[in-house]
Amino acid sequence: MIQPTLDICNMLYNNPAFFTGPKLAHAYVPFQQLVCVYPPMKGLERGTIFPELDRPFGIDPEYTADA
Amino acid sequence: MWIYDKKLEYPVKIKNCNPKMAKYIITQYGGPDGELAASLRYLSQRFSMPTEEARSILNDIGTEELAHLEIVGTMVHQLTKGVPADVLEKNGLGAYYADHDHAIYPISAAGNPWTAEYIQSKGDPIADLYEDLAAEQKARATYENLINLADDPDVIEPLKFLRAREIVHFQRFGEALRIVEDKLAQKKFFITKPEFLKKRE
Ligand SMILES: [Fe+2]
Repeated sequence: MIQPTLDICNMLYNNPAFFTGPKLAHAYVPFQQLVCVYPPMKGLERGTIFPELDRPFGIDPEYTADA
Repeated sequence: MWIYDKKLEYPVKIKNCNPKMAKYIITQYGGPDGELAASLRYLSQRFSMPTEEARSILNDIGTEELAHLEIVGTMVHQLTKGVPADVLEKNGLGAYYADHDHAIYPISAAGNPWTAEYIQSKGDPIADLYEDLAAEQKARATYENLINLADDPDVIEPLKFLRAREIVHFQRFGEALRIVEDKLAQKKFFITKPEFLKKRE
């Protein structure tokens, strides 16, 4: 296996011009894009006006590990 | 400064008292992952945030958590209103009644009084925002536990609303984290060494 030189490592991981992906040891939440919104009364009933954030209890398996 | 609206963010109209449920729900008033901790955490951390967006997000969410504190307080009040001392006692609220009668006091479900040890304000915006993301997940998990313990739709509906808000808050804190990380990264990174640094060598 070829050992990359330290310079190449630095260039790849410390230079945003070369490495634009998510960084190690950082948590990422994607930015929400405004698409469409619920009418106000439905928003109040659902707890959000954004359909993409409307995830009621039980719908997402990762939120119901113990339920 | 705040402007107060004399209504709840989500209506609470509980027809049947349930002191046992009140004893559990009060944890979101004064417990470790409750709304008092959330509001004071965010409203304190906002001062040391490096961008206007992060300050605004903490300010807005901290404000909304105060509105949630009011909802949870109302729920506990309605669940215990007019319940005689002996019934409170049978439902695990004897000690609470001795100290607080039918008043609302910030404690956890286990009876521990609220403490600032539940929150941190670190002065490091990354550390603070990660705490906030975790706090939203812990609050969501607590609301899910409370929904599992409840059987009255008058109680479950506001709990579902409060749970849903935690997911929205998590998204906003995630966006704040990226804005802050981008800003902090910009400050330290130069593609070519700027002139003023060269001169010093
Ligand atoms: Fe929240």
